[in-house]
Amino acid sequence: MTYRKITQDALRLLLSRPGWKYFALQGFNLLLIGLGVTAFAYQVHHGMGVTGLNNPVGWGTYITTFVFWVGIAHSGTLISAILYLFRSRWRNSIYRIAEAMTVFAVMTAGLFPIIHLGRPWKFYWLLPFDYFRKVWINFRSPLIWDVFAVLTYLTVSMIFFYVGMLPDLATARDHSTGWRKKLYTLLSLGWQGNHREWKHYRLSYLYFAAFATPLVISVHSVVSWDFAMSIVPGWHSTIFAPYFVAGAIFSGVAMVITLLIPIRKIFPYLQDYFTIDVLENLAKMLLLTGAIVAYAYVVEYFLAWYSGNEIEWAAFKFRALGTYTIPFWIMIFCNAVFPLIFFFKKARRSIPVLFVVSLLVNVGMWFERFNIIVTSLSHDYIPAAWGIYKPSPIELSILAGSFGWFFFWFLLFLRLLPALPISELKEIQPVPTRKQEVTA
Amino acid sequence: MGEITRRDFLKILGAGSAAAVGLPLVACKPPRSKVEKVVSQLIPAEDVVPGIPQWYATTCQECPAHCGLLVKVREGRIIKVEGNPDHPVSRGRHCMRGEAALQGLYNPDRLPSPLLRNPDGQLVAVEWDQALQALIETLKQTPPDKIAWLTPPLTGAMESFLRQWSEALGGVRIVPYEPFSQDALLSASEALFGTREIPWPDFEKADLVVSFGADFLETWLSPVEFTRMYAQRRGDARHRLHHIQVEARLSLTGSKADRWIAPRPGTEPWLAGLLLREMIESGTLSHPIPQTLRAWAQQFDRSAVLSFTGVSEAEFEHLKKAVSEAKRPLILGGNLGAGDPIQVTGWIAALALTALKGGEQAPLQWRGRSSWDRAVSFETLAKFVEGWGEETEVLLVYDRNPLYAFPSILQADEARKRLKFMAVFTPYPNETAEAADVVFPIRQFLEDWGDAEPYEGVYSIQQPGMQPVPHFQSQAFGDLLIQLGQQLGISVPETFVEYLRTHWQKIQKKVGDSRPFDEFWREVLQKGGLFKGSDATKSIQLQPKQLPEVPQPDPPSTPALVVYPSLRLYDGRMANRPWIQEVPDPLNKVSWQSVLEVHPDDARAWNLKEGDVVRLTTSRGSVELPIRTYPRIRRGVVALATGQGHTAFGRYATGKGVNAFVLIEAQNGTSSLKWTGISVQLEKTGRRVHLAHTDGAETLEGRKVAQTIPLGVYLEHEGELEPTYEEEFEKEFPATAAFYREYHKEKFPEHESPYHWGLVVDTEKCVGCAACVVACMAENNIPTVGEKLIVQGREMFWIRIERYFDEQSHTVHFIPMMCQQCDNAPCEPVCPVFATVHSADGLNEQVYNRCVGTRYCSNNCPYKVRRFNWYTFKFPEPLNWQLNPDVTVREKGVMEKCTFCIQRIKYAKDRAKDEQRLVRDGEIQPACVQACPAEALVFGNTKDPESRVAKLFRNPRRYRVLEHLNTRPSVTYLKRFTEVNEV
Repeated sequence: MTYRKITQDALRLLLSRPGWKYFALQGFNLLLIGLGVTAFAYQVHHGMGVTGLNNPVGWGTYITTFVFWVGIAHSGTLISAILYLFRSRWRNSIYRIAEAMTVFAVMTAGLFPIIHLGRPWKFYWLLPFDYFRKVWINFRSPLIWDVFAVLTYLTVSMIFFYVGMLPDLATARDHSTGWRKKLYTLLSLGWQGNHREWKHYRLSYLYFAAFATPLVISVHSVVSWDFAMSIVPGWHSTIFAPYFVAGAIFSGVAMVITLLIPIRKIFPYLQDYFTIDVLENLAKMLLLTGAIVAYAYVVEYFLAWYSGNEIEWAAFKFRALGTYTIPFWIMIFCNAVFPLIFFFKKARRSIPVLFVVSLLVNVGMWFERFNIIVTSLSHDYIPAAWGIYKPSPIELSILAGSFGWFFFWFLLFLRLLPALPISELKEIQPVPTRKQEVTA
Repeated sequence: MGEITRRDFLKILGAGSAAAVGLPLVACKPPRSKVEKVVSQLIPAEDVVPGIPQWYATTCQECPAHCGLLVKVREGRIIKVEGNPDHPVSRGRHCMRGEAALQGLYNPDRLPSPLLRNPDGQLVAVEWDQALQALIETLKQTPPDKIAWLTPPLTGAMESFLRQWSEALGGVRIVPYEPFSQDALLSASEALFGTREIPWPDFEKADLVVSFGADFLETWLSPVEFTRMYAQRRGDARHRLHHIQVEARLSLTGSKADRWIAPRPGTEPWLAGLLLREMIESGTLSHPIPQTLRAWAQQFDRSAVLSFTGVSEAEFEHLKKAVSEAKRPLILGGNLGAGDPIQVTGWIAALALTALKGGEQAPLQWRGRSSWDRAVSFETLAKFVEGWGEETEVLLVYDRNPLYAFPSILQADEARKRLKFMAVFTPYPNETAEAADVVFPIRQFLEDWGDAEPYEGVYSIQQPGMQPVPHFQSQAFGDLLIQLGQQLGISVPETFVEYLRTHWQKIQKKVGDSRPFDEFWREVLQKGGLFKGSDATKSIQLQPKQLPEVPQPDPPSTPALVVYPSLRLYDGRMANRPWIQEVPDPLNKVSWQSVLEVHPDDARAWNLKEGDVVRLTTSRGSVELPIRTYPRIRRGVVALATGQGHTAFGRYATGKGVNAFVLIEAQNGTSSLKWTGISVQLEKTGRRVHLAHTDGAETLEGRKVAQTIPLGVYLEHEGELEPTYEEEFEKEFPATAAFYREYHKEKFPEHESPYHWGLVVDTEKCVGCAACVVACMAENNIPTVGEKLIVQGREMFWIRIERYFDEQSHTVHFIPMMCQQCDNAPCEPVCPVFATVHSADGLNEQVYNRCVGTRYCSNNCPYKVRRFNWYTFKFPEPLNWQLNPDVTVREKGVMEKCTFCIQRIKYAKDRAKDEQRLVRDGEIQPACVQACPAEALVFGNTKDPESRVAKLFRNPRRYRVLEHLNTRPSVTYLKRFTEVNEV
């Protein structure tokens, strides 16, 4: 592994013209986005009645998907910031992709609170901006905390993402021509790579890493309080913050694996960077966070039973055995059972097993949120008001659209921005000796 | 070209500057189509003040009970119907059908113009003259004795007017008919007391009521009146009325009973007979027993009766013991059963036993002639229909729908074809109008003159509350008769109102009122009538002459069908009212559809699931409908309500459910009807439908939403006052309470209010009739969402009647659930935009304009009473005329909920402020409280320790739903009694 090879490999994706498959994929993503936008327009025109929501179940697929994408967003910062602070250098090759995933996942998640509004054209009323209405926002509402949490997280993760990319953008600038040159010149903010710059860069990177680290914990804690601060049986639980954070990292790591494996497959030269060792480390994280999540499931049930609160216990019995028993067991198997296979080294190092399990975890984590949100609402305090929710085609279209939206940005990123962190990869290379070629 | 003169120059200059100034003005004008004409009222109506409602007293014509109504008129439109507090039948209350009269008035499917059958056989819209001419020709050509009227059991001026009109024409016959007629009761009364009058039950005198099927809280005789009397007696702990219901399918009435005995359907009368015999033989009856009766009762053999009724010894012994221990039991027979000898048997036994137990004090009363005894017997009706084409060539139908509501054994469809001519007078299109030769759109009763005399001494006026709804070219029925009469050359008054006044002059003379008539008339119009009450002082005297023979029972069949009268749709006449369709049945909780009620164990045994469509076949016909499990029905019995299955009754009724009248058979070997115990076949069709039901669960699932208290325990504490909720809170959480108090006093002294509104719901009195639900919809502009959205769970009711089947006993708990206006409301802190806030009066307010629709408040509401606008619901013209101008019509995407009728609170507060006083106790009645026939709801100011609510808030029976969540609701429930007079 030489510095030149790193530079070349990293810039290969940026400086070449994508093939037709790339455009076909992007076309498909745009199609999904179009489907989602059309569905949303239909919903705005007719009203929320086009969803499957009803009287007891006021939140469904939209909030589920919101929490799902916020969760996905978490491992990016975990990998880039926390592992950076812990000096886990194996993270260097994948952290850019993970961070990009974070930014795009937050961008996706942020759409859903607006989509789920009854009057989405009034979404700005949720911002601390009372110019027209002369009514301030209600700071007691967890939804307002949510707005702040998600916007903060989006801002910080975007800055962190961008700052980390600066030296690499400069490298891209130095190697590109034409419009690319112009683009990277603009983006690299005149980075020269001198000592002074590196000194400040290092410090600011450390600062942002330190700044982003608590956000990993706080953002999903705040999201979990949307539920925990309410009095709905099945939501109102102190375990929610750690439980959701662990779940978020769990799902995020699974998403990183899900993204890395096809990239490795399509661009085989990247296998030198996204090595099986890196994947194994990710699998270990998956195992750890999966175990925490499984523990949380058990604790939740234990608390519901041990509290002696009949209504709480009934809600949990309904979750496991009632109308939504299939989603529940999908969740249990995908999140708590299948990841256990990573106790075996062979499984951790097997690409197909990694891919399949990571996909299942993604599915399982979506259903986890579905179970928490829908089953709790559908059977709460007053039996006469119980009701059942089923997602409507409109909601599923918007869900599909959100995947299109996410992958559209992600594929754009792969081809426009350095997915391999050039400078940081070089950092972990052995110092070049005289015999070896020295190039920057 | 001439010279420009000075004058021309000035002209041009003027035009130019005018153009320069005018053009931009023109451009600023809104497009022409948006400009609406505003015509000021040059001469405003004297008594119309915009924003202030007027009230007119009138009479309900939706059923023969004839409740007194008040209609609320705003700016010339009726917007609400309420009960007339002065009226002895309704006493200010009404049922859901009375409330829905408004949707009869504004029904968008009312006939816009007369219809006439053209030579091609098509009914087409014609001018009034043309339609009238067609009828006049026919009437002229037909001998009068071949003409007949089919009418409701008319009373008052219309009855005498139609009679005189028919006689003047040369003897046109009048056939008054009521599908739920009280034929059997009348025959029994005739046989026992020698008078064909209704012996009215007196719930105030009775100490026990045993009903062998009479649903006196739903459709029987005068349900609003009975509900009030019954609820009063049930809520009176010291003199509580004991209630035993004997019927195969538990009705709403039965669900309030202390004990339910479920014999085989249709065999209840024999049980009543056996009870009579055993009571006679026990020798405990203190009153002389006529020999004929003693002999008649001998026909009931204990072992035979118990075996074919399927009632156990223990159950019968319980019944017997309860009756023998009671001083003045009120025994009632069956509800339906026109002319049915079996039902007559039941009524004879029931009435005889009531009279024998109570003697002079028997809880029955005579009220003279009533609207019920004017209807013809079913036998007469059957003969009448048979004679169509022979004795009757021309049929004139007024306000009846024979082609829907005649049981299929009459074969009215076939008989119709034999008629030469049929003219229908109705406001609505219906099955009969569709088959008519000419159809006259008549006025609905809220926009027309008339009167009613539900029973002797109650003269009830019916006056229009507004001009006729202009969308329909309707005419008053009375005036139509006059027009016809003029053309036919008989002497008639100028207008029907004139006749009405003449009629009332006679009434004035009859009651000995010597004032000038105009003064008398004004008072009548103000009060809604003249309520003297019956002066029949006749006592209850058994004079049995010849008692009819007791018929032999039909062999039992399984499954057996019970057809029961619907509380909502009545005989089907209410099916075109969206409110009525939307409000679910109180017991099976299904709206918009017909369901076959099946016992859950039977459903399992027959391999049926809820929503499975079955084919139900009787000897008369067959229908296909979904099943609904219903745990309060005898095994092997299935039940179906009347009222659905219309084929031409407007958009809300047509194509919904099935018509039970198709299935009703003739009683074995007689020409009378068999409503219960019809032998049926069930066949699975393999189809399934989604049931439009609104209940989430059948039972309480161990939650303390409905609570009970043993009567004995309550009696020990009666009259005591519990500490107030505030005192309790103070004791339990002193620091929090002090903090709240100080914080509020110091920070928000201006938020101190003399009021804190509270509501009390007495679950002992509540019978679950859902009148409150419809009243709330009417008052608060709540849309009806339709069958599909009910299936999806998007009903919009602000108040719902929760129904829970008790797991230990047969009883059913009804919990009216509306916004609890919590002082510590979970919905308030979670709203991000302050759309739901607390008022100084303790109300939880919803600001529609601020709402962005996160639905978090609804999720966090433990009572689940918030309603989200899934769509912008539309009110088709002229249904929108009913909208209450004091209440915002909501658009899609906003949350709404019960406001305690804040518009009424505001109205009362404003008036109190004008008069410089505080709002008086009882001055404000939210719509639900106003409607409740059981008077189970009480509203008032809890900060006033002397108010009714403040006292009831401290009643030993009080509890608050989900109290443990510390939501501190402003609605208090009173526990239901259990184990009353356990024998």
